[in-house]
Amino acid sequence: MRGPFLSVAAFVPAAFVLVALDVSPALAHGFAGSGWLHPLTGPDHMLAMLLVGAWSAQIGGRALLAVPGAFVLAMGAGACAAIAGVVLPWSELAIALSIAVMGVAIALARPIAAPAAGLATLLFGWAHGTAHGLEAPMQATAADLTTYMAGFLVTTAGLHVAGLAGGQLLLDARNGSATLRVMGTASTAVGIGLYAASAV
Amino acid sequence: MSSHLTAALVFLSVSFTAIAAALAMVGPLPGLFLALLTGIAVAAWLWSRWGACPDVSTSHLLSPYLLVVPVALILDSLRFAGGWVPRLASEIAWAFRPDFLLSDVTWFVAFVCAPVSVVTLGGYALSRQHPLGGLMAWWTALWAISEGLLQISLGGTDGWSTFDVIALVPAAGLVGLGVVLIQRLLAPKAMALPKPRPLADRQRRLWAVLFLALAAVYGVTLYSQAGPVPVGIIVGSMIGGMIGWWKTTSRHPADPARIVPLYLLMMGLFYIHVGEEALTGFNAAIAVLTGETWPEHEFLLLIALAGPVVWFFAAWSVWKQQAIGNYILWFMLVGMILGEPTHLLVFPVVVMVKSGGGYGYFSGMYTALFPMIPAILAVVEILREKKSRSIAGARA
Repeated sequence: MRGPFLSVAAFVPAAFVLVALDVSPALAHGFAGSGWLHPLTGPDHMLAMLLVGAWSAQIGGRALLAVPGAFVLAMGAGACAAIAGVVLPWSELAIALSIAVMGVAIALARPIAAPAAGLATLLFGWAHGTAHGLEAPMQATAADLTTYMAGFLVTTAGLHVAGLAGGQLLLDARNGSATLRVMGTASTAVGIGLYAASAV
Repeated sequence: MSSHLTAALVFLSVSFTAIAAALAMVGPLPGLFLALLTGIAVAAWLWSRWGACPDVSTSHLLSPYLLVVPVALILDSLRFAGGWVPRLASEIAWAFRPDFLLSDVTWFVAFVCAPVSVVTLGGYALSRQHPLGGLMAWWTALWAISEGLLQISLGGTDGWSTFDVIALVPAAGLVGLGVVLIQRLLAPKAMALPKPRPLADRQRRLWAVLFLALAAVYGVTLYSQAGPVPVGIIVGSMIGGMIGWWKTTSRHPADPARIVPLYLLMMGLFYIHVGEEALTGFNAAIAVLTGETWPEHEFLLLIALAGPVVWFFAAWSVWKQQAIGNYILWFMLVGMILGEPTHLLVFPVVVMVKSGGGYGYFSGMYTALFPMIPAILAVVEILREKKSRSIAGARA
């Protein structure tokens, strides 16, 4: 209905609700055992998941399914591995890196083959899955763990779809492609900031 | 002249009552601050064009006005999450009466719910081009500036936390909005609303997918906090709103000049209802029903502060004829009409069945139905508009 900047502005409050959940340590603790909320209780996770959707929208074609699908699959596998004790080293750095790299990819807006993008998101998804697996409830039953994993995978998929649809809407709008690239650049800055914080 | 006199009388009577209540219940500083704010607003209103209400059939004045509340709520959410209430209690305890218990709930009711409700109802007057709206625009501008400056002056007094740093952004935003409002009050000019462009089918579908994804994420968020009953009501409203939006305003947005006043009236009344829920422990009452604990802190953050950012933002978005605002409009309308009566028709009955006894009070009961009135009027207006567009289309 309006230009892309207003469309972007329209997402801000919606995203704020999600971010508001992240900013309270008390909430984060409260949700630590709830898989549904886990992707929402860290700005790094939430941003990455929205970026996955937006990036797949930008690539288009087979990437619309392949990129988010690879992320969700790898995330589940990474979480299972972490719960079993197989932990990817430097997963927090890898998570920050995932945001920076996807931000750069969106900012550059270069054509990329769907399999290559899918492969990248496999690695990123594994890192996010490791973080989720490490924070799984202790001494939980198999049923609890299944619920926990189903929870964060469903929420992750929801965020992917939101990012994908939002990205498509932006791309359809006047100057939307440029706006998306600006958002990619901003995400890169956030990713670098998180990387620096993790490294320290 | 009579409407100007009415505006002045309504404003002054409400203000004097609020100032007296603040002095009697909260403390001298909040009371005097409110009196100062009100005095300056009235003086400025009388001075500028002798109370002539600017032409709000344009988006010139209403657009920044409608952004004040969501930005203030973003600031308040950050404050709340960052421990603002204990900080106030320790840093400026002298400003409050000794018998005033500054808790999360009392802070929310006195310093968030009350001003936000007043500003929203003032927005109703402004959008209806009543002179009271011009007066409220002055008050709102001054309130926004003072809230922003308060944050800037009190933020970081005991070390800069992440919240303090992030809160500087909405604080600066509030100051900016207040300045823009004053600037526009002093020099009103006509700025016609742009003509709405209908959404293409692809865009409608994409917006629908986005709304469904957000509904799912919001639904699971609430489910993990509050259990199935609130989720049933809220997600049910989201889905109902989705259907309403798809059938009516998804292609042609609602006429903002007709719908925004009703939406603001509804939201003002609804936020008063949220205040009643906070005061009477809605989270605890629901927890008794569902058996799921719902901590007060989480209830206030999600339902009373962060969630309303989106609901109030919708007023601005409807004014701008955006798809997201038109969807949230429908979500809220369905929620007010079908969801809120549960406070009278469902919750007390479930309590009665579960624990015996008679029909009794349930948190939020006394103010639940009032938002229904503007909500029903808005639905009628939207349907009428759609019908007239259909008739015009058939003739063409």
